[in-house]
Amino acid sequence: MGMPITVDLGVPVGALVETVFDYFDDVDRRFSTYSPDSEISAINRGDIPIRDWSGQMLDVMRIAEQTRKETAGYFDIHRPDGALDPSGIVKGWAIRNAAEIVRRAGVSDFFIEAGGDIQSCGRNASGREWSVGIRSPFHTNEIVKVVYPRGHGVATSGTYARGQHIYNPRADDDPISDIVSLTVIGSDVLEADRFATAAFAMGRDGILFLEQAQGLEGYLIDSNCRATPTTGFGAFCQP
Amino acid sequence: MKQIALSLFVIASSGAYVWDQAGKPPANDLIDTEAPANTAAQGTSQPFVPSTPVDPVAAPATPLRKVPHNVQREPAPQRSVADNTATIAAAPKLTVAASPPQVSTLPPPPQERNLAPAAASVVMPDAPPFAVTPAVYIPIPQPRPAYPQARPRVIHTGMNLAAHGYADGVYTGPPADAYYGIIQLQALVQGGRLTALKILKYPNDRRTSVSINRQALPMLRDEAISAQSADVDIISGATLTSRAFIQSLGGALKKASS
Repeated sequence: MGMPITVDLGVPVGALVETVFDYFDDVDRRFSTYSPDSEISAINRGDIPIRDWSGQMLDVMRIAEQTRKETAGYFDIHRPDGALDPSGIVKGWAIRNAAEIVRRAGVSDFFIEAGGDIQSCGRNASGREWSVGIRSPFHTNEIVKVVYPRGHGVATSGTYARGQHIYNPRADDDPISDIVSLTVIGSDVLEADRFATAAFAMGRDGILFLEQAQGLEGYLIDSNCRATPTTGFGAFCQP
Repeated sequence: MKQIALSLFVIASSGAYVWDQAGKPPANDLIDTEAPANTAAQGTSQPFVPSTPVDPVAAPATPLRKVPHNVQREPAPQRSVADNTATIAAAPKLTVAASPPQVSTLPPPPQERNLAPAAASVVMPDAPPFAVTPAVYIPIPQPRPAYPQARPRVIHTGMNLAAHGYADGVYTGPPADAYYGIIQLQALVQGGRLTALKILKYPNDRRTSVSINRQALPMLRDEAISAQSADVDIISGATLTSRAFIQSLGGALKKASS
């Protein structure tokens, strides 16, 4: 997926770690829009009719369509050129599935992080809650907030790492400049990821959207170095 | 001759009898005797009268000459007709009153139409020319009166107030009536700008109030970000960190905000 992936199982189970990384490789081969050999690239070339799409592709497409409806169109995998780009949820979807692989293997204390999105479960090696630092959008080696997700998923969208890679589908030529980072805590990492992407595209209103959404909390940082949390976000900041 | 005369008489009488019986209905067959009789009694000019009370336009023109074989039911249809007539007559007046130019010249409701809807006769004389909404009446909750505090001012966080030259500090506003309950704010002013609002009190005793506040207030609380201890297990951030990009953007934003 062209991004660093961290898997911490708390216990030395090398084979399981390999299984998890193999799974991410498999997802990457199928969903990478950069690779011409991927299934999504073939679909965008028109080489594969819908009836021949893989079950994983159909699952991702179904979740993408559901998210588009839930966010009034702010989440949309249809790019301006008409191509499909499900990258906005594939990462969270893959982490969620990888976490399920780990759980089924009998491991209950672990976290999986891919490109800044996190699914944690259980406790760390010290027996404490997993702690997640929210990176400063202005200084890479600084953390501006510490949260304890307690089994929830965490995802952050921002303009600072890849440049402007999220655009408002309702106004293509209006770059989102006011907010620079939006962290979302959801029931699992897929929920956090898809709504982090969508809420970021809403600009300032994204935090209001999260405030009203059931089971989602958010932490928005704007270009003036000010942060706005949702009402329930503070509960995740207590160890 | 006599026999011939007798035979002729018998033939003539029997013919007369047959002729007479043919004009009468059988004595034991009572089907449909009433209708022809009534029709005959009223005359054929008003065959549809029994069905007209539901038709308020036609009804007044009809003399209502019902057959008096059902005297007790007679008053009821008459009142019904009167009601309908009043309602129909009042309705066009409402429509006329709703058009602005005629409001000032609107005559009082005719006294013979006391059955017109009460709301119409009360509202119309006082209504200003352009504020009439006759189609649907939506009740609007009126503010509770006699609350001595100052009216709340709504200020959005981040609004540039430099022109006002506010002095730095923390300011607590008066409790104010927001109809659904009391709201009180505390404002933080830094560098002449309003930088944060804290909600000291807000209406939270009713589900509606909570719902309104969850929707309205979260943007009012924000905080300055500050570096925390880096002693964490995992870091969440936007994908693919690019140090140069971050430093460039961070520097630009610092300039913009300084």
